[in-house]
Amino acid sequence: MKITEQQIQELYKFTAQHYVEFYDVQTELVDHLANGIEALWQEKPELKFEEALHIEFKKFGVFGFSDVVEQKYNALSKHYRKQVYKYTKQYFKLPKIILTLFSMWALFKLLTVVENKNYIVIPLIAFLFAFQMWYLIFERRKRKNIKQFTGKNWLFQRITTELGGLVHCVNFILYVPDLFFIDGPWSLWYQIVFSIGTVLYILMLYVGVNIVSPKLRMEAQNQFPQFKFI
Amino acid sequence: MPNSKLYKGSLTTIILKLLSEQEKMYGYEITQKVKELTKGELNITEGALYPSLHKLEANGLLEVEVVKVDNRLRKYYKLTNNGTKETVNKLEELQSYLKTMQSLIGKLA
Repeated sequence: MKITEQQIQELYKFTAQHYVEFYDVQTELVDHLANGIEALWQEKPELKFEEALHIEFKKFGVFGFSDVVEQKYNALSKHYRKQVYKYTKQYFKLPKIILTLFSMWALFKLLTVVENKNYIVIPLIAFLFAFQMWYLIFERRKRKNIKQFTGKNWLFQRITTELGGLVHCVNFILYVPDLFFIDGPWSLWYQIVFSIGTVLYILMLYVGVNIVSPKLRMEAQNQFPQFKFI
Repeated sequence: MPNSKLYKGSLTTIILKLLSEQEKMYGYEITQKVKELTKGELNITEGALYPSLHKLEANGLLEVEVVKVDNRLRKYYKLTNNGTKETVNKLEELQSYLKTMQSLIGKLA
C-alpha cells in the first residue's frame, strides 16, 4: 500500500504541528515518515494511517523532531561561519592583503592624528550599525517575498538573515565605547587593536553579505530547482 | 541489541562507509541497510541519524540531491571528494581503535 498525495500533505502539516516550520527540513522528515508508514503497511495492512504515523513518530524519541531541527540549525550556522572564515582568509593573501593592511594602517594613522576619538569611533559605529540594520530589513523583505512566491518558510533563509549567528556581533559594537574609553587618551595598543578589529569586522560583514549568503541561496536553489529563490 | 552508546561515536564512520559503497542513499534507506547488514543487531535511531547527516553535509563531506520519487521529494546524500578521503581516514581510525580495544580486553581477561 502506498501513501497518497493527500496523506503527504497531512505529513507536512504534522511536522509543522511538531515545531518544524522550515520546508527544507520538513521535506526530509516527511519522506522518512512516509517510508516508515509504507513499510509498516506491508507487515500490517490493517493499520490506519494515523496509527502507523504515531508508531513512526515515536521512533524519533521523547524530543520528537526538535533535536533534528536544532542540530540542523546549528550545523548550518556553523557551516556559514566556516565559509565566512574561509573567504575572509583570502583577504590575508596576495594581492588582497595589500588592501587589508592598507585599510588597517589608514585607520590607525587616522586615530593617531585625531585627538578626540569620538570623531572617528562614533561615525564608524553609526555606519556599521546602520549597515546591519539595512541588511536585516533587506533580508526580512527578501524572506517575505520568497515566502510569498513559494508559500513556505526556509531554514537557509533564516541562516542568511542571521549571517550564521554573526549578526549578534551587532551587540558587541554597542560595547565599543565602554571598552575603548573613547573620551580618554588611547594607548598605542588600543589604537592597533581597534584598527585591526574594525577592518576585520567590516571584512567579515562584507564576505557574509556578498559572498556566503548568495552562495547558500544558490546551494538551496540547486537542491530545490522547482522553487525560485534568486 | 548492543548498547547504543557504544556505536554512537562510530555513527559517522558507518554512514561514510555505506555511502562509499552506494552511489547515493537517503536517510530511511541508511537505517534499513544497517538493520539488514547487522541482522537487526544495530538499530540506528532517527534522532541520531539526521543530525549526523546534517553535520557531515555542513562539513562538506556529503552533498545533497533532492529528487521527486512517487508523490514526494526525497533527499539523497552522496560523498564529496573530501568525504571520500575522510572515509579512508575514519575507517583507519576505527580499525586502529578496535585493535587497541581487543588487545586491551585480551590482556585484562
